[in-house]
Amino acid sequence: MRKHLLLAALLVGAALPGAYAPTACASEQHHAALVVDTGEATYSYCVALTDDSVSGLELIRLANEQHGLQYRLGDGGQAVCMLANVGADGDDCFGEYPDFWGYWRGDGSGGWTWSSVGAGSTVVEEGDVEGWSWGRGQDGSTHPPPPTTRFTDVCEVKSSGEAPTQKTPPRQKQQRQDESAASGEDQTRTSNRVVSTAVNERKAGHRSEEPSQESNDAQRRLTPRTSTETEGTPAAVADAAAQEPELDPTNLVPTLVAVLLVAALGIGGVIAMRRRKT
Amino acid sequence: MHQGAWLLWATCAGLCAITTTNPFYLLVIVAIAWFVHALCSRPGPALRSFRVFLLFGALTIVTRTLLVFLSPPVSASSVVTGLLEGLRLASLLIVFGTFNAVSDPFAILKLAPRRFHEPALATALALSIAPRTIQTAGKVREAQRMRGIHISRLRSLPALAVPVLETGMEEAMVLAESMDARGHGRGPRTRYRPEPWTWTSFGSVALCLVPVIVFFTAIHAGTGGLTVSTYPLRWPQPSLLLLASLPLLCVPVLFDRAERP
Repeated sequence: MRKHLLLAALLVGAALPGAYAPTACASEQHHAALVVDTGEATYSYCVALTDDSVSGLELIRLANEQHGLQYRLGDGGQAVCMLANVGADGDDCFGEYPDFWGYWRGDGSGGWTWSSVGAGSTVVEEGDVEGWSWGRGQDGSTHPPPPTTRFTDVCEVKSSGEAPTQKTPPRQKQQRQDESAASGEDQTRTSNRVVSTAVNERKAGHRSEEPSQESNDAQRRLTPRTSTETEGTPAAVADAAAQEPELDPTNLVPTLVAVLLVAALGIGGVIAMRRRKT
Repeated sequence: MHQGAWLLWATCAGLCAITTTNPFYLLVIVAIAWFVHALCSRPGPALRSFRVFLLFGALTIVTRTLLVFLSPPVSASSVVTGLLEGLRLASLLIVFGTFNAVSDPFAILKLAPRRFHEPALATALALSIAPRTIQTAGKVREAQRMRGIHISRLRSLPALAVPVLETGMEEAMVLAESMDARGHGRGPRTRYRPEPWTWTSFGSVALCLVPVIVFFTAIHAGTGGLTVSTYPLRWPQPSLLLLASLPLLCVPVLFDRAERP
């Protein structure tokens, strides 16, 4: 009996990876994108969710597990003090104030909105984009947001058969040129390889060494999928730019419908009011 | 319409408003609240409650936007964020104002199960405070005008405020005494003419749930332009499907009008 069970367990164990591998990324496993902008460098991670939804803090923890993102929480584990070796020392996460880690949430089309609640109480689900940026500024109006990032910039979308696209964050180019030592060049190459496995890390200086290496390994272990190398090709960038919602005539239809709806209801209400009064 | 149906209507409209900062959805919700108020509000002081909440809503938007200016540097993004968040709060307030105008708080109190009667009573009192205060203020102003006191300046405000507060206290005391005298909270409570749930009430509530489901599905799918990107500042694009679902919140009006004699 026991032998049979063992055999069955072994069989299941052997069958599972094969059975799950193709579907794991397409439907079973949920992913969310995490963008960490230290002001000098931007790291993006495609994080596999352990549950249907996790909190914003949990996502950072998962990014640490899966990609080796360095982090430290404070204020009773509810605030983010340090990410990628940048941040405040000690338990006071606002020790470096006015510089602090700003928490942003993707709006679904690459833009960012300032989160009005803490990362401990937000819900991160499949396809969400979460951003952290180091800088000064009280709120979303003054704090520097991370570079424009879509979910598909960070995570591959298997179902639509798209090649992984990666948009070069424009802001730290200058920085990198400044620090383009021989080792710096090496780092860039390493990060490009990471891009091909759906983790984008763009970094400057030697801060990158540890997380990059770790994330590379972790990513290989977790998802041994093959994909074409694309490094910020002009086509991808142009494509992303083309999707920017501009004020073209077709886009104005829903807006017009909304305005008409408001007008109709408003006028209807006024007529009803007049009739009631007489 | 059943009073509970109005409660659920307000909940549905409020839930839709809470999910979004897109002004096109919020303005449609406000327009629906105005429409419902215009057709269904109870006659009497309740009519005024909508106007008061509209005023409160406008104040909320102004305050929220002014708060932005207190923390410079001010940018277009920050002002828009403030305006939209203010608008969301204002729409909630206006929906609440409509609910106040169309429903009778004490009839809703009757719906609460026996066990929750005390918290329900507290809620009903809290809900009815705004319309009662408005009513009292109107009465006091009228009385003062007859005495030749015109309350128009800040200096004459105590002449209005003191009697209003005093009347409020008095009313609360009278209510507490009368409840005590009727043995409230002791014996079992009998139901005198309970309000029946009609099929139309059920139906209208069910239809009101549709936009809520649509909006929450849109949140989970991350579509529908519910959150407006303020950085970079983008045109708030509404979705036709979500817009089309919102007028279902007007359905209680039809049933309410049909039920009236």
